Amino acid sequence: MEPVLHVRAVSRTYRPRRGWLRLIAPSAIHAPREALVDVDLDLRPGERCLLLGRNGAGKTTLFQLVLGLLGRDGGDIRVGGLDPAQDAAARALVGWMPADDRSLVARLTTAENLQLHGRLFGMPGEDLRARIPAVLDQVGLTDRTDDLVASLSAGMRARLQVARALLPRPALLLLDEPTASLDPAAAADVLELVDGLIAAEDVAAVIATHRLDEVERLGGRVVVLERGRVSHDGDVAAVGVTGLERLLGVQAAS
Amino acid sequence: MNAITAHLWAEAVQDRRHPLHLVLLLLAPLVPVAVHRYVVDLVGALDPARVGSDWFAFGALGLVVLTVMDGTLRAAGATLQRAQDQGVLPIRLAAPAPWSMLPIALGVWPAVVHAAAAAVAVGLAWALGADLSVTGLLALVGVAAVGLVATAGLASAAAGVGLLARRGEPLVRLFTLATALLSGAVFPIEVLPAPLRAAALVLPHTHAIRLARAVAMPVPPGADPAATTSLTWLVVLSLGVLVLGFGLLRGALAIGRRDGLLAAAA
Repeated sequence: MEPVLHVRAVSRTYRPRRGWLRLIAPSAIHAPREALVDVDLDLRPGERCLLLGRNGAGKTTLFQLVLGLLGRDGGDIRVGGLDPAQDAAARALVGWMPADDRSLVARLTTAENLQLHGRLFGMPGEDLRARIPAVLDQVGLTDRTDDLVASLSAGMRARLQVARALLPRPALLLLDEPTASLDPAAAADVLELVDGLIAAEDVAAVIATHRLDEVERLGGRVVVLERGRVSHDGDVAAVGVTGLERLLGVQAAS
Repeated sequence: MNAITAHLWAEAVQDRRHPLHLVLLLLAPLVPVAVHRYVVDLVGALDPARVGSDWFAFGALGLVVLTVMDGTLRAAGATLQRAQDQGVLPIRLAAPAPWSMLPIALGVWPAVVHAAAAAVAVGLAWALGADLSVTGLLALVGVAAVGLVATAGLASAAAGVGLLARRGEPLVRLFTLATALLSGAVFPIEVLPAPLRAAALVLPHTHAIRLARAVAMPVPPGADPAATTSLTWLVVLSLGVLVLGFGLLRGALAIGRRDGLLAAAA
């Protein structure tokens, strides 16, 4: 089976702005910083992978490269066989949940946010009308359909972001730290929900996290990113949580 | 097309939720038209060769054209800036729609609102005694449509600068201040010094205003070129601005992708 996500020898270095661009806006960094180095990752349809790494390890950078929002310095990325840097159609195959919930429009309702997203993805009206209640039901937000997003709790917004990512029936789901802003109970709920939905929708998914307890809870394939390099790609059970702690340098730090 | 209809719908829904905001947007252009009425009353009649049969109608039409073109530009710029500031932009760019259409998609609803505001302003001008041709007023819709092509190009250029600098609004504000001075909205550009007059003639706004006067005033300013000449200049300059604006935006998007600016808020 062809991989839905193919990442091969991908590298990306952030560099300070040079020349006239510095006159328009100052650079956020002052020295080159390697964000990803020779990263490989293949994901087949229906496969789920956890992307584990400390803050700044390169998880979000990898997602942005897969979405085509960021240019790569080298290597190859294919989503459903398409290069996201060249072909906008590749983005239609990806459901993305960014790391924070600011991407929701606070002045629109829960259903309206989904409708806007579905329209941007070119979903026909009839399909949208059937799909929106279905995904809201899946994430347990049916009773908040007509509430403004501004009135939702952080946990509800996380659920809505999951619903939005699933709405256009993507082949690949990218969830960037879906529980980052949640309390432990809400985080556990969302994680359980996400895992169930990935199985139910039979979608390939990468879940980025920096939390070992989440990796331990979900299990399965884990890819560890350490300073932009893949330091482990295999089943959690093969290395155990202690092994992952060692890979992340948690013990060394403590 | 999906991006245009989606953003048109979403912006309309949000504005409908704040009816007072919408009403104020519609009423805002009335003030400069009313101010111009009283200035005309104070100053008295001017040379018809310069301002046509009615200086009030001359100025009111200039202000109405600026309402459509620059009002839309300012509102579209503000919408894009808000999307950047609130962190909504990356998720919009992650949709499969072409990125270069985003400034236009975000500008369609502001264009509808400002066209409606312009219609209200024309109604006020008429009520205050402006000498306007009824059939010519219908032709103003066509003038506004061509003028908005130039606005789309300018919005694209401003979006490109905004993406790179994270702040595109000052540029838009500066540009609209310049057009208020140079386009000859309430006075003929012939009174400007030669260098400024030359600058005025490369602005699509100047030709849109001249065309509006040629079609909507019973006796347009004698010094103005014929309607066909103004229309030709307006079309040529608008298409030129559109091509330049798209080019600048595409360049900015390429740099933004390279430098990681598109996803900076994600």
